[in-house]
Amino acid sequence: MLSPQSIPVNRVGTLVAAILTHSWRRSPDALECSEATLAELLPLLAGSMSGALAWWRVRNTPHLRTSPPGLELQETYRFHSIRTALRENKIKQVLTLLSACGVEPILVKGWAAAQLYPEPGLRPYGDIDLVVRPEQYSSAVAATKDAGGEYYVDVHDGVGHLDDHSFDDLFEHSRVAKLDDADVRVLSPEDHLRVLCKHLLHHNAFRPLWLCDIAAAVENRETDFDWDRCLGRRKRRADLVACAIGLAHVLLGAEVTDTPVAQRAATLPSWLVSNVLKQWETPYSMSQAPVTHQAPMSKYLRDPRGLVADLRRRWPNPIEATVYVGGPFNELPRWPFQLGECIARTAKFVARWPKAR
Amino acid sequence: MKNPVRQAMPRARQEGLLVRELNDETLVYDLHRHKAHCLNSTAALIWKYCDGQTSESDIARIIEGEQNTPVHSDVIRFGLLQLKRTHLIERQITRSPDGAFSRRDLIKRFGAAAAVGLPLVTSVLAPRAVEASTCLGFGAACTLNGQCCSGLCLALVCT
Repeated sequence: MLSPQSIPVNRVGTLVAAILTHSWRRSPDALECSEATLAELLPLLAGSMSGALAWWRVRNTPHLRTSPPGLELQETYRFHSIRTALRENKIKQVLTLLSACGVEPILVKGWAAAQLYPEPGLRPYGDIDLVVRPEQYSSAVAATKDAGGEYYVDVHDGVGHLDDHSFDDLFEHSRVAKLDDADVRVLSPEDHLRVLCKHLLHHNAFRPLWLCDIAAAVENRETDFDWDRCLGRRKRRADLVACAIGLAHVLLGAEVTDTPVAQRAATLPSWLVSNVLKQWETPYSMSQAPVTHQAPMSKYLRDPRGLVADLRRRWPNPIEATVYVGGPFNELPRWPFQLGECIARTAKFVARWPKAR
Repeated sequence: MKNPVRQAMPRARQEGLLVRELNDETLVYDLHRHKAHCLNSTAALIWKYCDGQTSESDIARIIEGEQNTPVHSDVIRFGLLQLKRTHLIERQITRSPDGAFSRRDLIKRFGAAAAVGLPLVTSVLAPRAVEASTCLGFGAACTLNGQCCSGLCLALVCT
C-alpha cells in the first residue's frame, strides 16, 4: 500500500490515495493528514465526487473533524446525502414508467455501486444508467424521455464496450435489490465487479471514486463469490480485471488476500500505478478528452494553426491506449499501443472525412 | 387565563418532504421549496414528537426522559420556532411575549455547556468546492454526461 512518503512524485495523487484509503469501510481509521493538506485537497476531493468519502475518514479524526476543511467536507457529505435521496426518488419513478411498458432494466454503476457503501450518500452519482434488451431500447427511451428532469436517465441497449456478455446472460445472473418498496434489478456481484473494472480502465481510472467502488465490491463480496464468472475465460480480459483490482489494493489498501488476483496485485506494471496517480492530480471529467481538445480535427483541415499543439493533447493516455488496442498490461513500453490507437483513430477520421469536411 | 402558547400541539409536516436520517442528524429536503435542511439530534427529536397531539411541555418531558437530562420547555420552543421558520411544522407557533429565543440568549440562560444540546436547524447548501467544479456548457465536446452542466452528453456534445 502506498504512503505519502513512499512515492515522492505525483504528490497530490498519492495524498488523494492516502485520504481515500479504506474510506468505503464502516469504520475507517483516523486520517494522518494536516489541516493545511486537507484544505489544499478539498476542492479536488469535493470536485471529483470524493468529498463525502473523505468526510467519512475525517469524522474519525479529532483534529480534523471540526477544522474548516473538515466542516466543508461534512457539508459536502450532507449535500450528497440529500441528492442521493432525490435520485433514489427519481429511480423509483423511472422504474415505474418502464414497468408500465413491460421493460425490466438492469441498473448498472451509480445506485448499484452506492449499495456497496455504509451509507448511499457516500457514493454520489450523476446519471441513472439502465441496460435494457436491445429490442426494448426504443420503447425504454421513449418512456424515460421526459422522466429524467435534472437527472439524466441513460438507457443502454446492452453494456456495449464495458462487457462482452449478452443481455440475456447478464439478466439470467442478475439480482433484485430493494429500494424502499421498489425492486431494482442489478448485475450479479461478479458481473458488477467486472463491469466496474472495465469502466475504470476504459476511462483512464481518472476518478478515484471508481477505484473505491472496486475496493468496496471486492471487500464486500459474499463467500460464494464466483471468481471464474467475474474474471471470465479470456486471459487478457481477466488480466485487465485483475489489474484494476490490483490498483485498488496498491493505491487504496483493498484487501485481496485469498483472491485469485492477489499475486497479480503485487506485480502491477509501474507505468500503470504512476499514470493513475498522475490522473488523480486533476480527477475531473473536464480534464479528459475530448474536453481538452482545442478544436475538432475537421477544423484543422481548413486552418492548420494550432494543429501540432492539439495533436500533443490528443496523444492517448497509456491506460486508455492499452485497453483500446487490447494490449497486455505488462512492463513493456506503452508507445506502440499509443501509436496503434492514434492510427486507429486516424483511420476512423479518414473514413468519415467526406462528412467531416 | 392559560397561555395559548403553552397549549400548542405542533404537528410535523408530512407532505412534500424527503427525509434522510444520518448518524447524528437528520436531513430534510423540501420538495416544494427545493431547500434542504439539517436537523441536529435535538431538533430531530423535537420534530419527531410533533404529532399534533403532544404539547410543547410534554415534548420537553419525553425528551428529558430519553436524554436523561433536564430540558426546559423554552428549549423546545426554540426548536419549534426554527422548524416553523423552515416550514417543517404545520401549526402556528407563537413567540412567547416575555421569552427570548435566540441561541445566544438560551446559552446565556442555560450555560455554554448546554449549547451542544440546543436544537439547531441549518440549511444545506451546495458546498463551494462542489460548485466550483466546473462543467461544460451547451455545444461543448464531451464523452460523459457528468462533464456537462445539463448532465446530458448526446453524440459527444453537451446539450
